[in-house]
Amino acid sequence: MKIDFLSLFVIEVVLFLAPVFLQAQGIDVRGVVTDTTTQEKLPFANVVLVGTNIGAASNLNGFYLIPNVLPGEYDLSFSSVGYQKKIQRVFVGIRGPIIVNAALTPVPVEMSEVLVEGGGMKRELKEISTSIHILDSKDIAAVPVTVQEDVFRSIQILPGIVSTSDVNSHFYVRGGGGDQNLILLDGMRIYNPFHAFGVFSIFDSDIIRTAEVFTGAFPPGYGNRLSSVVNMSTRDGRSKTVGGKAGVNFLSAKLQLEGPVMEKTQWLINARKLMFKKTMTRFFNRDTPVDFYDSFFKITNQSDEDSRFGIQGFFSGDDLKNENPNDPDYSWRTSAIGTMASGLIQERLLVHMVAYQNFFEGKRIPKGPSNVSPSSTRVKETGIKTEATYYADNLDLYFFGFEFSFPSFEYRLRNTAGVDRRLADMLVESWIWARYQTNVGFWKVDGGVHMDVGSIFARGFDLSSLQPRLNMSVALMSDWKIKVSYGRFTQNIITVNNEDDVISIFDAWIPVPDELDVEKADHYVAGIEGNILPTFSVSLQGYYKHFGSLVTYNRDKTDALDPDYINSKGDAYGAEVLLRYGIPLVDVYTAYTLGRTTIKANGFQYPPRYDRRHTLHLMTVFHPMKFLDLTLRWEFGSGFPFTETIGYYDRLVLDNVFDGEFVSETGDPYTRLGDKNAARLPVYHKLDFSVVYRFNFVGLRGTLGGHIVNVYDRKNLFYFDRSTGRQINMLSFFPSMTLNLEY
Amino acid sequence: MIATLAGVLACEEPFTPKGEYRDEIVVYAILSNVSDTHYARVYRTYDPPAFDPFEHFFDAQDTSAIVKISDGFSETTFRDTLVTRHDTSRYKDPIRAYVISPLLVQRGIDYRLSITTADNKSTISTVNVPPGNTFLTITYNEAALKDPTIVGSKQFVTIQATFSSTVKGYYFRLMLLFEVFQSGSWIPMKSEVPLYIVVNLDGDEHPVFPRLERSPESSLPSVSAFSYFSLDAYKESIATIKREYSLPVRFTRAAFVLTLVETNLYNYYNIVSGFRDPRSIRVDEPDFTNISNAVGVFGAFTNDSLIVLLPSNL
Repeated sequence: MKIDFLSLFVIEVVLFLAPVFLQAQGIDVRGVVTDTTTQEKLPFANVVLVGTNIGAASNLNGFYLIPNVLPGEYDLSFSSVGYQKKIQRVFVGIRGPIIVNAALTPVPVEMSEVLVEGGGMKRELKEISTSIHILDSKDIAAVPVTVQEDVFRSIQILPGIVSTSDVNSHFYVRGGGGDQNLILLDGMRIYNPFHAFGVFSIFDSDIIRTAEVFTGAFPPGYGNRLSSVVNMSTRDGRSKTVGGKAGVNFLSAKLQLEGPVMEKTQWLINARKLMFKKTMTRFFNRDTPVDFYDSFFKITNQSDEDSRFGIQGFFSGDDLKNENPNDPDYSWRTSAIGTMASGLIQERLLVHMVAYQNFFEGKRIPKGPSNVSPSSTRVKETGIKTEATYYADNLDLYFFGFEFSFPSFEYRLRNTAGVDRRLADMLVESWIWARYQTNVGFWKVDGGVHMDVGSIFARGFDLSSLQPRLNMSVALMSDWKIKVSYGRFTQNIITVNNEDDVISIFDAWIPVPDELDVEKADHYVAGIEGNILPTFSVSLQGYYKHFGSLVTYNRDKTDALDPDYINSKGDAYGAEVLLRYGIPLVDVYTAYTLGRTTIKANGFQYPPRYDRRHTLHLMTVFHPMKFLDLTLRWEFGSGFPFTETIGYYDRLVLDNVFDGEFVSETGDPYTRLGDKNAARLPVYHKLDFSVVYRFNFVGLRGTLGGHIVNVYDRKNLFYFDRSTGRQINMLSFFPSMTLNLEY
Repeated sequence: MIATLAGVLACEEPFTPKGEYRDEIVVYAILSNVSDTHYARVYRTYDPPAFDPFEHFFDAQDTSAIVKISDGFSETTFRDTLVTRHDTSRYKDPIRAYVISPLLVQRGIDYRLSITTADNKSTISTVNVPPGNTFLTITYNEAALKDPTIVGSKQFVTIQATFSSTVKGYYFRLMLLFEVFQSGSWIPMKSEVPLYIVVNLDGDEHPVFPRLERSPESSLPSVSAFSYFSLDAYKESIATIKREYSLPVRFTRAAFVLTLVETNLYNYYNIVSGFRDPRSIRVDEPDFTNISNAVGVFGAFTNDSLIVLLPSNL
């Protein structure tokens, strides 16, 4: 693989800088929107010149820019979901730009992504895109906790997302595999975002400011995943006072400290550690002596309204040390460290850059005489990404950027032939992209193209390297919209766990073998959404996802000349319904997904292990008093596919067959399986309950939570041991408490 | 009412990973030109009371099946026989198999195996015995087999075979045939020569023996394959035989044996052994059968040999 890195770099830089030479016109109004209590930057706030249809939305860093405003006096309206609207008088003269910063005050009643959005408070991103959900810390907290708050468990109540168990944070989006989700933390790619066996995510929800979840047809800025993007941005920390937060639950304890240091610089430190190992034993229904920790730090300097610089990093580790010498030990380590800079490099050109290095290592370490083989995986990656936003006179937006990364992969295992294998490889991942947001007649259009330059250089040009992405919406009536989306996606790395494993010890990543096509998918999404009542919103979406190329086991492999994996195809389609109802006393959230996924490999068709036909989430949050929330969540899922045992036979190994000897062999017992994934596990359902009491005590703000997982003690099947028939259930009735104190 | 509802919802649905037991015929039959006696093993899949197949205490042999083989012109029925079981740790009783003898397997011919059981289950499978017209030639260093001292170290003897391109796999072996003088007579014996010997970092020597290889693909009627046997390994084998037997030893022949394997046996043989792929990263254990409505394999192979006469005082 010969790559002319210099050419690649020059091409990307030229494309990146080209629009810089466009010149701005008019007077610009710009600034930053923040939260009055936490001083955090507020993303997705709407900023509108009252009496006009001119406005803008703040970006992830709270920055907004309204270009080309005619001189005059205006009322500038700032609004954001869950905040009091604010109107500020602005005088626009003949010289600019005009800087208007605004701090919004949170309102006690939560009206947000998970809960009902108020009319007219739509977010700009959601105006056009079909498949985006934006969760902030309130949304994450609104979902009843399973021992501890978890951003990924909150994500799982969104339509189109399937989780295979409540013991596991892994998720599957619209028929995509578990390795097809791009996880970003402040722009840094994370390959293993889970604690041991995927039980929780490694991100404490208190560090998360917003999580953008794209369940399909995501914008051109994202690449190398087929199904979804979870783009989490973290909090900066308070800018005026030092504060802290401590929390404890039945699993872990955590401490978060934050505050200003020097002028215009904030810091935040968060650490969490497992305290009660017995809780993990409850999770897995067996002795699971896991210990884990995770920690995060961030330092951000905002020297003026439109330039920021920061560094951030996180570290997590899990160790499972079995006392039984026949059971192996396990170890997992994940870390990432990065630096970020953003600012206006011209009046209208906002640039955001992230450079990072991440690391993941998972190991299975046998001790003494054991049938278990050693295995390990490692990913190390250095990357840089830059994106720019150009604000045009006519309110159109241009986005463009590039990304470079150098992931290296190592995977060690003992294969079925009993041979120890080590795979090591390195990739150059690189792409450039451009995106344009405009109005065409009644349609709002957000389209662009993503070019996978790395694949072009490594594998030659292929049409799938040029990936169009398009989102369009049109308003039918005041509150109703039709949206359509299309996107093409490729992925050149995969995980190679046994595709039938119920619990993944770790995701072993490798590049797609050179002899195979990279994975490809086309997304088609259409939907309609609107408000039936001001307090009752509806969203209906249908999707079809064609996997033009997947990498799956080669079922026809017979020897070393046959590849382990082959290209296969697949299709996923379904419909999603999202209903939200909200009044001051109660919020109701209902998400239903009907889905069907099939994979076609070696002339054979089967549903993957995570294909679930029906998924239903019902969540109701009562607010009987300002300081009290009661939440009920009921989740239902139809059974996952599995392969039945239909008998046993004694299979001859034929070791000496070529010496004419096979007839006296007894053979080894072998399980005769039915058609792959032709049967279904029992349905899954459970009810969770949470009560959260907010209080103030000697200057401390606190929340005391009582939580019950599986209120009616449903015996949901987690997995079964085919060799013994032993059935392991998911969490049984499990009460727990959380206490968080903040000052 | 709420309590009742909770009780109903909480109830555990019965679940078992076992689906409906499917009673299937299991067949193992391998034809070859090694012998004119051919066996077929016929038994059934079984369903132990729980999940441990070792709780099934008797070999599920089907002793009342009618097993027939046909070459397209004539059909012959196998008869019952008993075979001594080598490993009696699990089942004690001897193996009840089906045998046909004499049957000289014709090369290049399709054979059809049909089995009908007493409960009217039937299965049919066919196999194409590897065709003849096989040519074996020693293309390099044949003389060194008769006198290994004429070559230095790191030399090879090369064997070439030409055979039908319909054959899926081939397998070269080099056998040393010798006689040991014991109790007043010469007892014939044989020993396989490794392909080569690997010396690891600790200085330990590990012989590497030939293995089943896939035939080269070709649109032509025949293909050629080569194998290279280390003469160092050959010398070491001779020395080892001399060391092992304090009795007088005389060498008689070196025999190159070419085993040709048709597709079904080739596939089964590899798949049950983890694809025999040391570079694989697969960890699953798939199944293979070429028998309709049944499991197991009906396969065939042939052996051809090229003999080199050796001086007795080698």
